[in-house]
Amino acid sequence: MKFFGQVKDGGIDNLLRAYVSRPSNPHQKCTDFDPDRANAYIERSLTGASRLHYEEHLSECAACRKNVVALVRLAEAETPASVAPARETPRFTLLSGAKQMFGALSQPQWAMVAVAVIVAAISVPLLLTRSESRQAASQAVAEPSANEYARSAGAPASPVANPTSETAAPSTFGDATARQREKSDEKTDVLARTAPAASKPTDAPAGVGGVADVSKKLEVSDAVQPVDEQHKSEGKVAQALAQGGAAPTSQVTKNDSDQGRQQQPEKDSTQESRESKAARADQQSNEKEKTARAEEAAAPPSPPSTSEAARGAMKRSPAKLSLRDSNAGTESVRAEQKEFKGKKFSFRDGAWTDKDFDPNKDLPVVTIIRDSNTYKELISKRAGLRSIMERFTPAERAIIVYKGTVYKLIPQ
Amino acid sequence: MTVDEFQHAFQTEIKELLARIQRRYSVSDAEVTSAVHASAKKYLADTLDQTSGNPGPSAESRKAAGEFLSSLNADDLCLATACAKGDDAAWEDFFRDYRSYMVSVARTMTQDAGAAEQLADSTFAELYGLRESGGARVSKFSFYSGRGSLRGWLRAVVFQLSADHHRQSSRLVQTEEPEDMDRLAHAAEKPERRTTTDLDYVRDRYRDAVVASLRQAISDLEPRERLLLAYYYYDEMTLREIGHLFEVHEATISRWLTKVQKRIRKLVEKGLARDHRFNRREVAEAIELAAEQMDITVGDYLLESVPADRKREQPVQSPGGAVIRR
Repeated sequence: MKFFGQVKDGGIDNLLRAYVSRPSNPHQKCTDFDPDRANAYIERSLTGASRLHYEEHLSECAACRKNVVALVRLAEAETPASVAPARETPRFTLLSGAKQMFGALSQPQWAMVAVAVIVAAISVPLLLTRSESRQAASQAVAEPSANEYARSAGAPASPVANPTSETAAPSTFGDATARQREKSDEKTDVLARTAPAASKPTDAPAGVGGVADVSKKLEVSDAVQPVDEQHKSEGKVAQALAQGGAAPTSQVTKNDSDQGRQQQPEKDSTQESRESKAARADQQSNEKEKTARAEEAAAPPSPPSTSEAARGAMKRSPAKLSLRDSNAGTESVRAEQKEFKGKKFSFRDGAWTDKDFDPNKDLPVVTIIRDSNTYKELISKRAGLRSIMERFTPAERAIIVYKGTVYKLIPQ
Repeated sequence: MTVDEFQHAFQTEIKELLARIQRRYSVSDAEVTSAVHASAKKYLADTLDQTSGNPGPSAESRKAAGEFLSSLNADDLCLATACAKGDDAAWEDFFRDYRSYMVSVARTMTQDAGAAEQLADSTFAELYGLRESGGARVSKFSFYSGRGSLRGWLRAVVFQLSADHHRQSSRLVQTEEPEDMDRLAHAAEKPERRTTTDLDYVRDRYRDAVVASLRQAISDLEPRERLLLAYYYYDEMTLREIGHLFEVHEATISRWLTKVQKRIRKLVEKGLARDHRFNRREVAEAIELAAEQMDITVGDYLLESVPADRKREQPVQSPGGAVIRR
């Protein structure tokens, strides 16, 4: 038999093979073979002292040793079922159990299995965590498509110029990262956002595509207008997260579509609560700056910092289109309509939606929280918009297309 | 220590053992205690000796006795005691539970169905006790101590009876081989062919010196180390089989063997240098030469001495001279 990783001493091995018999008392002949003791020895039931004594005898007595060897082989030849004594009282101790358990690990093949299990136990949770973050990111990317109603129709494709697209991010990003951001953003001035800016996830190179997307939006917003310090720090954090990812873009896109398809119903149901959170955050923000951003949002957008082709590809994402189509199907169920000031509104997805609103058109979107300072300032400056907004009750949500801008009115 | 003293000294432990027995048959407490006492006398002699004569057992003795009694196969011991007593219900249970097993063990040993039945019947007769001692029937069951399982003990009993029958029926088949090993050692010490060349003289000198040193080295080993070598080299047990007996993994046995080999080499080298005044080069040459010569002898011997049905499993000589186990 081959030794286990040991260097066998060939010379001594051969010598022993030739010589080992009964070194002392070679003429001893034991005729008193004790089956009871031999069986106890084989079954390892002998205690320390009696075992040592018997082993000493066996080392000298070839006859007894020969019988013991034969009995060992006989016992091993039996099947495991027959070896187990039918009436034997189980004698299981903690120590024996531990020995049995860890004794198996001393065997090389089981030791390898144990190592593999340990590696799997460590790596699987890590992978799952990473997968969750990807899901969250892809959910974040898919969210804008779910909220396509927030886009306005007919605007030129320059959404980047529209400021404050960050506002709804905490409410639409259903992941932990977004929630963290939501908490930290409670005092952040985030009023409006641009839907196109939120539809550029494919530019993100990282596994945390959604976060990367946010960071890009932040960068774009920074380029257009001054953003408060908190936004800047947010952008840096998000950018760092985006750089930390490693998944290919195609994979992120795939995840986006899949996750978006799966998570859309859930997002719809929780959308209202999320937006109310965002509303509270908005209320605590700097109202004047919000107003300024809202006004700027109405202005013509500047050229995008990212390629139009990329955004176009994203807009044509089958997953998003299918989501949009399915939403449209469900929206038509509601027959309630409102009409005033020459504008028609239909109730879709829990919001009164302007007939002029076309989610396929990249119009700047401004989110307004009812009765907030921004709201008051806005309606004081734009009487036409005021007459429309005041038609809705404080608890109602509305999407209004007014002078090339989509105003998303949400309750407090 | 008498049974009464034993019962008095370890009353609590005996009660616990009695409580463990599921079926008592017609065996009384006193009879079980007597059987346990016999077992303790055999395997716990030192503890009983220390306790005997003292007002009570020491904590150490009580612990040892407690561990011993708790490790006994109480149900098996009670069944064996009942069978030895001639309890019909016990015999019925025994027959039902162990008859087929004994026949299968016998068949494994005899390789013949008829002979197996015969061996099993003989064993049953021994267990019942056909022989009488002092007018009383002596059952083989009275030798069961409960230390191991009843099933394992029956296997050993069947094996012993089989070996006895075999020895009686055929004198041509040798079941014990120490004499053969003696002849082997003798052959190794004094090779048949004698030459007068200088080279052969040197070889013989080396050989004698190595054999003497080796004998001394082996006798200097611990009993367990000698047993390990005997199991491996003489009984040709596998590492796994030896590991089973020593309650360690075969890899551990492999390490132990390597360790023992190293130790023997050191002892042999020391012996050659000390007793035969060999220098380092001569020591190395002597061991190498002796190993080569003795190995050939052993290979031939082993293949000749083993029964025909085991020859396939015996070590064979590789073309390079190394011994290979199949």
